[in-house]
Amino acid sequence: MKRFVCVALLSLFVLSSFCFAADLKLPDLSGKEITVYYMASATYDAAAMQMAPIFEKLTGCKVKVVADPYASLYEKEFTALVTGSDAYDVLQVAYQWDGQFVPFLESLDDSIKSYGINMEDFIPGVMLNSGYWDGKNYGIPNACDVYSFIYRKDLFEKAGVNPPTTWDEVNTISAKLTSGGVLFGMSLAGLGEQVGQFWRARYIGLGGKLLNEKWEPALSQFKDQGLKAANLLVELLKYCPEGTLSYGYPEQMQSFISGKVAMAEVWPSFLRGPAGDPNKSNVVGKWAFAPYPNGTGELSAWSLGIPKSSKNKDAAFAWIAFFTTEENQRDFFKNIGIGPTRIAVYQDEKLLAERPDLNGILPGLLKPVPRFRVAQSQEAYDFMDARVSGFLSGQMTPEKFIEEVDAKWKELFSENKPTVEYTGP
Amino acid sequence: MAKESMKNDQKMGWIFISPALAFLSLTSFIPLLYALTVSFTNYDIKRPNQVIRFVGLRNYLTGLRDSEFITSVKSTLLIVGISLALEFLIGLSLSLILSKERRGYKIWRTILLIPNVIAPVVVGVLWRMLLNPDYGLYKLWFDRIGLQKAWLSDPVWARIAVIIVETWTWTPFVMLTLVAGLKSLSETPFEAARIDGASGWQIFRYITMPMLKPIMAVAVLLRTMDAFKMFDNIYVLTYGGPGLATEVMSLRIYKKGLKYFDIAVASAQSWIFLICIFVLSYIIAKKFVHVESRLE
Repeated sequence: MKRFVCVALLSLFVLSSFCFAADLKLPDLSGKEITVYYMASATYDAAAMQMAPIFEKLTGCKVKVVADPYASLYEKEFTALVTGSDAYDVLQVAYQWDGQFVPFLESLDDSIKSYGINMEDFIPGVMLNSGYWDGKNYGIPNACDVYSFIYRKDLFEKAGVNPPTTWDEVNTISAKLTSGGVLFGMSLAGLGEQVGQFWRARYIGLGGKLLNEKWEPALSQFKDQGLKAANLLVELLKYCPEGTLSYGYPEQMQSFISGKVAMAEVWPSFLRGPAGDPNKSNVVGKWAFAPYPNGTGELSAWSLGIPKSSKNKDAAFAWIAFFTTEENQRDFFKNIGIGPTRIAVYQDEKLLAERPDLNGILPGLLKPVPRFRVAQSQEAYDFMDARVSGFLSGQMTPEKFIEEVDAKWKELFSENKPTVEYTGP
Repeated sequence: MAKESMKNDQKMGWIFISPALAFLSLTSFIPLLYALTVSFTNYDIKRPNQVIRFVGLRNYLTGLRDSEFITSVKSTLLIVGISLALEFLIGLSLSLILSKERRGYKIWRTILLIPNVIAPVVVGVLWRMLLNPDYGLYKLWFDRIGLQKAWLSDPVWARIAVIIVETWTWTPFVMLTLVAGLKSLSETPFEAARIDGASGWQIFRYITMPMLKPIMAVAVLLRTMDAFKMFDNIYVLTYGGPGLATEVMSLRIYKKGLKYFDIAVASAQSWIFLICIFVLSYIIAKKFVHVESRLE
């Protein structure tokens, strides 16, 4: 019976893709083969693998899906771009890499026009930050997310508390829900490269600014906010499971779906699938998402772009157009949990009734807190993240953290100063 | 006639070693020289159209002023120093026991070699799972004996974890080298000492150790060169964290070069790294030569 249902669902999925393809008017690409490069996360790459045979049936073009984890994706993609390699025809690009990648990517404006894709159908806060650079589209957003809380409705109800609306409340609620080393109030992904975001959300939420419009670090000017954000985070660690600073996303996810924690700060896309899967989760039906206080959740957005060195640009764009249709985005959300980039999916009444966890995400995406996207991004954020981990593990004081980041960012942004004005927080 | 034959031999010698030389040049010398060239220029991979200029020692000074590089040098010295000491202590003890030809010792020597044949990335994954704060097997055992530590999230314990993993992986290599060394020693001095009534400690202190010194020097040399290059297991186990507690030089240079794409400074730092290892290896090799001549 279970097998029959699976086959029926898959057939429906394939059929819907075929039906939609009629509207998209995909060209005949028989004899062609493209290589598409995605992040390995059992989400985006899984979606690409599902779509590859369908795309081949529709166009005759073979699709080879290659995937690597986030940690090595940037260096491999960037190396391929700067060396002019034609190994990949489509790249999945994280928006914070745009500043470095754009000189090596093909402008998609002409193809967007010829396929009749309306870019206004995409969430503006996502579209303008992902794949869009200096008035041109170099990528079409295929997935997005915004840091949010996932919380246990049953435990919150039992304790008589609502999801937090201020950063102080995050700590008081976490303290209230922590009991006897069995249940913890909060779970964070504490590894160096992930933990910085938690400090930034608090800092920005408290009114702090990272840079001024001239790309000069502003951390020392907002020292009080910086210290308060740091102290809140240090205190919050008391209500997190032991070993939080070694948690990556998988460990954080595990802590929530095993029922060990009452709340977690997460990318919803990574958690909604496993948390709703009865084979993996102890908390099915007991959770919901809530936005960060003051909407300070950091944005995650991915776009699909084409390297200038690709030898199959037409087939590559056909894949991008096909992969980012409204229909496919709806299916990716339903089947895999990927955050859609098209507004219409968030306004689909039927889908909202079926999947209430989609509620509460769009407000955060309309006014997201994006990372800056210039060449210095990677090093600047890494430097900050390592030091957030540093003060949380007692290797330095929060004062020293602010001092060091301020000095390093000054050095980083004084050389090769970005020509565009800084408009972020 | 003899001179001509020697010339022919030399020619043949060069012909035989030329494939190896060509391979080494392609895989080692050319990349090294390329990195050396880049380290003296303003090369920026992010700006392919930029005119490449000679900048003297600027990249070397930037590399040496890099506070994270300095921190990684300190961490490397600490982790490598303690790991090597432990590897030798445990490796020597095991080799003294297992060098004897007793029943079952061959099997033990093979079993103990297993950590050394596992790929470093797999070692990292394995230990990350064993020390996982929620379901790690070793973590649960340590908790039971009252050693409840945040193994990978506390800076001190993360360093200890890295040292344990490094020692676990490489002690078998030291043990095997020393077992081979012990087995190659002549029996005569030992027999003479026993006849003269020397105690076990005296035999070890005054005969085994001096005779084993050249082998130990080779093992130290090989392990030092290798230990400084540790990367894979730290990359997987801690990724240099928490903070920068376990960030070693090779990981730092990797980040500088392949995460931030500051290739010129990363090349300069690589050369600084290479010179450090070379000097250290030279000192150890010098000591080895000294021992050998003394024995002669």
